[in-house]
Amino acid sequence: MENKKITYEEITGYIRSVSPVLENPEELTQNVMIQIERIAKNRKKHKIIRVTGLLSGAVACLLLCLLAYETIRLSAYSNISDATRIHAGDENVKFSKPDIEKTIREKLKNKKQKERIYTLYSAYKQKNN
Amino acid sequence: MEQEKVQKLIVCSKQGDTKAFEMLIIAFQSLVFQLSYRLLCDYDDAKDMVQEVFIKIWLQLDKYNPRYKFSTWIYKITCNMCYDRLRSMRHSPESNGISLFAIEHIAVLSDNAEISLINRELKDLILYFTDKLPAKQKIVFILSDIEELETKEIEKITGLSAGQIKSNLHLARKHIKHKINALTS
Repeated sequence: MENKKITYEEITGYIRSVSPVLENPEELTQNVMIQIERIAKNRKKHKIIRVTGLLSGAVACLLLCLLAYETIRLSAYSNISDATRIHAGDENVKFSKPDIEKTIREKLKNKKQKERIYTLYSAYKQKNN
Repeated sequence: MEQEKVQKLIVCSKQGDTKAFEMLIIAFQSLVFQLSYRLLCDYDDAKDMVQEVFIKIWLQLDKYNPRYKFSTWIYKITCNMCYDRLRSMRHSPESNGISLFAIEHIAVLSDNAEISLINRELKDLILYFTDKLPAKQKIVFILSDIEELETKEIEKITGLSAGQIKSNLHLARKHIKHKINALTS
């Protein structure tokens, strides 16, 4: 080897000027693209699974809430004693049917009276004639 | 490639357009390969690094801040990954013998030299001067004196302060100059 003086600038200048060469860059690009397309496909699959999971979770939560609501409502009702329940029932129930029956009965009574009067009147008329 | 066109390609890639991302790879592949090769000094490692870097870029495209240059972001990812690799691997000392061969041929290296020879000589040369350098110093040296980036950009890439960059670069230069002196004396 020649014993010539090499400077720092010469070394860095040389390294700078010589760029490493990539053989067949198209092949490398294709390799990267294959891997990226695989990742993109997997991402889509995962997205569908994630959305389905979220929807199922939401439906399950709703059902659970409904069940909890029903359970609480029923348990609150069952806490009332029978006596209270019957009393409450008596207070709330409106008896409308007997009223109607009473009205009908009165009307029938009136009708019968009218018929009776009419019959008496007819008999009286015949007698007079 | 123009910054506007790069930004358009990034927006398309974010929406899942793989063709747009392929254009980005074609545009920045050589940048990643050259930096990886200069840092790792191994052809296969540098090729692997190109793949890993672009996969990471694809996965983290949403995190890219358009205020910075895309090339700066690529430099940052490449440097971080190479830094991890450099820390995990130890170069074999075989390069010390070959490096003399490389230095002898600086003057006579012709344009017609084969690709593999160029890569080999470059590898030997870089390894001879920077093999013993800590990963941080090596990265700062390559970015500053080989890639000729400004200190502000190196700050963004490495996350080091201007003072840290200066001191790392000073130590790297001192080491390389010492190697040169040992070689020529």
